[in-house]
Amino acid sequence: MNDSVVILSIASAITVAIPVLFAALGEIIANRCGVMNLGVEGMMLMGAVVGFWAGIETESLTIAMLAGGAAGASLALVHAALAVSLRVDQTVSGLSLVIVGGGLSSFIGTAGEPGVLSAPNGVDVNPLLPQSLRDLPGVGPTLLGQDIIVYIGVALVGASAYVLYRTSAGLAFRAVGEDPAAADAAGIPVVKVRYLGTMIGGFGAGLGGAYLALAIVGTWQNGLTAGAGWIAVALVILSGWRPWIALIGAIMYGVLNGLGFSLQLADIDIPSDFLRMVPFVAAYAVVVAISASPARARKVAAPAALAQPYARESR
Amino acid sequence: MEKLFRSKSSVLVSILLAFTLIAAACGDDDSGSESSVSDAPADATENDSEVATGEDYSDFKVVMILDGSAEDGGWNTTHLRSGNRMADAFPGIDFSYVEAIEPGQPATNAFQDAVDTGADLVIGTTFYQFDMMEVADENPDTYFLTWAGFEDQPNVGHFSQATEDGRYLDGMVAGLLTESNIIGYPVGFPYAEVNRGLNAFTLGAQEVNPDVEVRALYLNTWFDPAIEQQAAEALANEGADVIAHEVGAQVYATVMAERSGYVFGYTNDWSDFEPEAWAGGFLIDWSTYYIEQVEDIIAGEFTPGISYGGLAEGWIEFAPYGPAVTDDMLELVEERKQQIIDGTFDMFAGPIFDNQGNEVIVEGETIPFAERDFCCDFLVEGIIGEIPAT
Repeated sequence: MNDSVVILSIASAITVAIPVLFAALGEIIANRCGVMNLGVEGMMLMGAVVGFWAGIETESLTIAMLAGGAAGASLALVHAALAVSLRVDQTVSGLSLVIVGGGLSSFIGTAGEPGVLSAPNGVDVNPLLPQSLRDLPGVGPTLLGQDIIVYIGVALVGASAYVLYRTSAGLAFRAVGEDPAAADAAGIPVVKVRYLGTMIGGFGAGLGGAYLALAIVGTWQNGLTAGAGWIAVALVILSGWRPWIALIGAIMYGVLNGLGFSLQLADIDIPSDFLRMVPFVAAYAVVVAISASPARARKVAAPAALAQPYARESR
Repeated sequence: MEKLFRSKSSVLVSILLAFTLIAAACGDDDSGSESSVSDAPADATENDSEVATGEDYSDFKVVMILDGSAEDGGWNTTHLRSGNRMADAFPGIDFSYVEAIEPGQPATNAFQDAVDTGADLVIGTTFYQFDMMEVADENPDTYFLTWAGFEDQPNVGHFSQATEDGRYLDGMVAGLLTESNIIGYPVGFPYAEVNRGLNAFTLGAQEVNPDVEVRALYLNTWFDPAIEQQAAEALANEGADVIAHEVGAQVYATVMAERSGYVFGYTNDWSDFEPEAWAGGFLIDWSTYYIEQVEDIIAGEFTPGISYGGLAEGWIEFAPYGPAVTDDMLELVEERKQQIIDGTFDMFAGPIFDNQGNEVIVEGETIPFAERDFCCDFLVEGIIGEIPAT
C-alpha cells in the first residue's frame, strides 16, 4: 500500500462522511430543542429521491440540494405535527417515518416515465478549487480536492455550533430542549421552536440523502441509504450533541469503512466487518467514560426534555 | 379557542393517517397481505382474448413470490422477466406476483396465501426452502418451485443457475478490455456461487490475457451504495480499469465512467446507464425452466428434484455489449460460447491451481456440471484476495 492510496482513501472517506454529517447536524438541532426524530433514514431517502429527480429536471446542483432538503423537511413536518402538536410518542412517530419515507421514496422513484430509477445523473459535482491547488501533495486530494458541498457541510458545523452556543437564539433553542416550561414562562414560543428545530433536522437529513444520490452514488436506487440514517442517529449520541465532535465522528466512520477495503487489498488480514464495528464500540466506550465522571456527564448529557412532549396546561 | 384547536387537530390527525396509509400501501413494505397480489403487466393478461388462436390456459394459476421490489433492476426484475416470458408462452394463463416477501414467517404466509387463492404453481425466487416446506406438505395438489432449495418433496422442484457459464465469457471480454491488467471484483459474502463466479471469470480472463490479475474484495453487504462507492474507489486507486461485481449498486459504472474504465453487470442490463463505461454482462433467464415445469404439470408428468442449468440449457443470456467491445473480441467469445453449449469446452478441466499454490483440480479431472452448484471453497491462481472466514 503506497502513500497515494492512503491519501486517496482519506479523500473518499471525507466524501462518504458528508451525508451522515448533514443528517447528524440536523438531528442535533432537533434534539437540542427536545424533539427526538428517529425517522432520519426515511427523511434521507426522501431527500435522495427528490433531490435526484430535481437534478434531472433542472440540472442545477443548488436546486437539487435544496429540493432534497425540502423533501426531508416536509416529512419532518409530519413528525412535528404528530410529536409536538398531538404529543404522540416520539419513538413511534419517528419509526413510522422510516417506513413512510422508504415506501414513498420507492414509489416516487418508480412512478412516471421514464422515472427516476436508474436514470443518469442530471448534475455534475466537481471539485471547487483549481487544479493547481488540488495537485499539492497530501492536502491536495484530501482537503483541497473536495466539492463545494463538502465545504458547505464543514461551514454548517461551525455555524450551528456558533448559533447553538453563542447566540440568544441558540440559547432559546437549548432552553426549550432542557426545560420547556421554564422557556415558556420566559416567553419563548416552545411549539414554534420545536417545529422549526424538527424541520431543520429534516432539512439536514434531506441534504444528506440528496448529496448521497447526486455526488456519491450518481443514481437513485430503492433503499439507497442502506442504514446511513441510523449511523447518523448513533453519531448524534456519540457526539454528545456537539456539532464539531459529530464532524470528527463522521469522518472517522468514513475512514473506518474505507480502511477495511484498503487493508483487504493490501493483504492485511483484519476483517472489514470488525472495522465497521469500531464506531459503535467507540460509542459504547464514550458513554462509559462519560458516566464515570459526573462533571463530564452533565456537560455532554442528552437535552433534559428530549423526547418529552410539552403541554402548557399539564404544568 | 381550545375547542377549536381540538377539532382542528382531529382533522389533522385524519389527514395524516390517510397520508400514512396511502404512502405505506404505495411502498414495498406492505406486500404481505393478499390484497397486494397484483396482476402481472398487461402483456401477460391481454392474451385472454386470443383463445381462438390456440389453447387456453386461463384455469392455470401461477403466483410468483419475490423477495424484493419487482423494479430492483436486478434479481427480482430478472425473475419477473422470466415469469412474463413463461406467461407469454401459455395464452390466458393467470400469472401474478407478490413483492418484498422476506424469508421467515412472511414467506410462509405468502406461500399459504398463494395456495388459498387457488394457485396451481407457486414460484419462490429466493432461499425460501424452510419457509415453504410445511405448506408444500399440506397441499400436495399444488406444485412449488424454490430457488436453491434441496429438500426432497414430491410436489417441489428446486432450481439454481450455472452463472459460471456467463462469468467465463464476461471474463474473456474483461481480459481483452483491460489495459492495466488489473480487474476489480467486489462481491458480497463468500458464498459458493460468489467464489465460483470469481473463479470462472478469472479463468476466462486468463485464457485471453495470461498477465491479468483479479482483485477480489469481500464487502460484507449485498447492497450499500455508499460503501460500494468506497470499494470501487479503492479498487480504481489500486489500478483496476475494469470492474465486474456481484453486489447491487450501480455506482461501479459511475466510478469507472469517471476514470474511462469499464464495468460489467450482474444479471441486469444497465447498458443505458453510463453507456460509455458499460462493457456487458450475462443475464439469467429462468423462463425455459418455468415453461418446462408448467408443461410437465399440465401433462401430469412433474418431476421433483434439483435442476441446474447454464448456457446449454438456455438459462444464461447476455445483455447488449458496450461500444468498447469489438467484433474481434466477440468472435472469440462466440466461439467459446458455442463450445460450452456443445460440451466440447470445459472451463474447470484440470490442472487448476488455487492462489495458495495447491493443485485443486488435477490433470484429467474436472468438476462435473451437476456438482458445480456446490463449488467453490478456493480461489484460483491469479485472484489477489482471500476468502474471509465465516
